[in-house]
Amino acid sequence: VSLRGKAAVVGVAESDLGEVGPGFAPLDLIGQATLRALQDAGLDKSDVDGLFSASACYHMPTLSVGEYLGIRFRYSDATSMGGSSFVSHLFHAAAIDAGLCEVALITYGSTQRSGGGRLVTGSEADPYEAPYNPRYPVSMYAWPHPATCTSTAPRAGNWPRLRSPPGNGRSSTRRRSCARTSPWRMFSRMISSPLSVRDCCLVTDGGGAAIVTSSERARDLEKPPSYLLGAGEAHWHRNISQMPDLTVSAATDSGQRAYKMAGAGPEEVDLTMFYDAFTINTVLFLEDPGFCEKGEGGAFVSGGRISPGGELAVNTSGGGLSYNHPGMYGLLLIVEAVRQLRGECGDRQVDNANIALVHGNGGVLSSQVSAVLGTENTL
Amino acid sequence: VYRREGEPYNVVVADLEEGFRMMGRVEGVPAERVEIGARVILRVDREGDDPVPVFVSRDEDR
Repeated sequence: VSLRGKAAVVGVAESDLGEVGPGFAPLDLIGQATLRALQDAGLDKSDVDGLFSASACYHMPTLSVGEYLGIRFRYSDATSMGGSSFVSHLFHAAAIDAGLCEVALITYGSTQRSGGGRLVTGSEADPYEAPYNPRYPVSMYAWPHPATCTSTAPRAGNWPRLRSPPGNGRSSTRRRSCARTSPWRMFSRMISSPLSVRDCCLVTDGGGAAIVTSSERARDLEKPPSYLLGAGEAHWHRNISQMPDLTVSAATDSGQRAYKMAGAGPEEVDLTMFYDAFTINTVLFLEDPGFCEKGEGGAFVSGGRISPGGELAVNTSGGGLSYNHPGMYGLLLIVEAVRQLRGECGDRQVDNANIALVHGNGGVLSSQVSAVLGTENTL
Repeated sequence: VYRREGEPYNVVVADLEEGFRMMGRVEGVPAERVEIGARVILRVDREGDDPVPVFVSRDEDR
């Protein structure tokens, strides 16, 4: 079954980001983002009949979201694979093509920063790993890789500096901006070698929403649709000690599946949004979905090649490392990709952005989900 | 792994000749001196009443 061009993202929004302060629950951020995304799409709450959500805060997230929004959804999907879940939801919105729903809401929210400043996770400890006290989840990403063992920063170039603060006026997500100049790595605290604190994503509040509908209906809306051209999922392990090869992620498979459906490969991709929980993620996701050969990711992120004006646009929002990481970040990848494809990104806009690869990572490099989005030109 | 308190410690993943992979730690080697590919052998230590499998260098074992 090919889903190419059958559905499109027609509305996206962030909730307030950064540190929203006391008095907000994750559902409040979900509510904010949903209303903003509906407004962006030019649709009404009463149009929405499908719901996709995952959460570390709510045990039955679609039930909680449905109750909070006061919507009686006829289709509900709470697929939970960590931060990649929301890219997976985009894939599963194939339910629209099957006629199971017509307008789908994908949403997420977390107040983990205001609530304690630590990652909120429902992840259970593996009894075979717990006695050795790895630091979850960073130790599971702390594998020596040429790119993370040198003093060159494998960050998303200078994109974070171009990032405008989110328009909420409440807070800034740029709390680490002072440390981003080189040689930041030399002076930052080691967490789990070779990853220092500067190799780790932010811990922020935040949320988002995306509205997906059939391509037919999408064309009647005001803003240009971002069509789902292809998607693919893969997972090979849950716990890091069972990862078959620590240097190769299942993004090899998810990427190929997405490309095959989309009829496009890395050569055609104008923009990549990689789930960068840690610096090593960006390197792996350049290698595994085929932007460079295995082992060459370190060189790929060096010398400004992924900076603005470089060879490949990577994580133009600033990513989980510099822009926002509310525990699960996958939905915000979609938000930025859609804005880029629409040409709404101002001074960080990628020229002629027609095809975007959105790549979600979940668990401990466990779940890999790729989706290819494209403009009307690509159909 | 570097915690705010205490000395850094190592966490490893070892491939066993018996055909499976497991997490563990290498005893008797400073955290940053554990080398990828080093040959180790399993030993069972006790932490309180609980048995905990750890690894020691194969050279040291001899």
